[in-house]
Amino acid sequence: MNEEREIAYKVRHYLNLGADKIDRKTADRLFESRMKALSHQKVAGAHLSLTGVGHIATDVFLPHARALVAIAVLVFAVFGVSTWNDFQKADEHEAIDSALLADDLPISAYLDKGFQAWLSEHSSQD
Amino acid sequence: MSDFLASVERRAYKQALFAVRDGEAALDIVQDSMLKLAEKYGNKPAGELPMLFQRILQNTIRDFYRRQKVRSMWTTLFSAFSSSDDEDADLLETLEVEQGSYSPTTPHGSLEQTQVLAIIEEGIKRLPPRQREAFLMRYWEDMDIAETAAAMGCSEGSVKTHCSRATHSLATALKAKGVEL
Repeated sequence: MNEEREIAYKVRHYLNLGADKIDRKTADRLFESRMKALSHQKVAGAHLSLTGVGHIATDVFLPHARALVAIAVLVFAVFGVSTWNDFQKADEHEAIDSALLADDLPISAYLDKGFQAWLSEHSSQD
Repeated sequence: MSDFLASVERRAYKQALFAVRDGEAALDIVQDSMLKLAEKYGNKPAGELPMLFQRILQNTIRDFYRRQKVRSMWTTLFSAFSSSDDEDADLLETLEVEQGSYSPTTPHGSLEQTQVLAIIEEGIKRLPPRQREAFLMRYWEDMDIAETAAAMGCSEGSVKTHCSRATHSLATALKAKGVEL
């Protein structure tokens, strides 16, 4: 084991000499590579400038952005359909009210039980 | 990080060169390895960098081998008839090296040192890849057995075996060339 280590360390000495003898062009290329790597270095404190709300936005919400957008679109669509239905109903009621006020309702409308029930219900509310 | 890369870049280049035997490819491998280390592990403590860098370097060398293998499948027909005399050529038939003569003071000593270095480097190039990895990490990078095993993804026993065989092969190869370290 000691002999092995002794040989290995002698070999290492020569290898170090070889590394020192690298030509200038190669050394320059290695320097450029090192600079390039350092410019891409991941730094531990990189997120410090994004503390607080910014940090939450990037670290918590950003990974789920697609799901959040889908949910927002769904909620918006449900709300839109509901609102559109309300407008439709309001239009129908408006048409009936107008007809009532103008006495344009056909006689059959007054004979309709559902209509009478609706009329009495709404008159009691007023 | 900067100091670490500066201290390791030349050895990394030589390691890659021993493995792939192509200066340009070796430079690319070192650059890729440095980039990966900086991008993924730039915030790691300095003590962890040697092992991480060696693991990345060896994986990048292996990736090069894989790409080379795929490429060679298409060029086998063209290269099959080319001779490989250069690989088998002896750098030096016989050379006697004085024990402990590390710092040559004469032109003759300097020449001998260069020749011994060439023989050693050729011997390292010819080692099986795993033996070369283990030997260089253990004895050139000064990593301990556990770190070397972690970087190579093998057991500590395997590292010892690889190192022992590599040293024995090198010593035998040097003796065959008449070099006594």
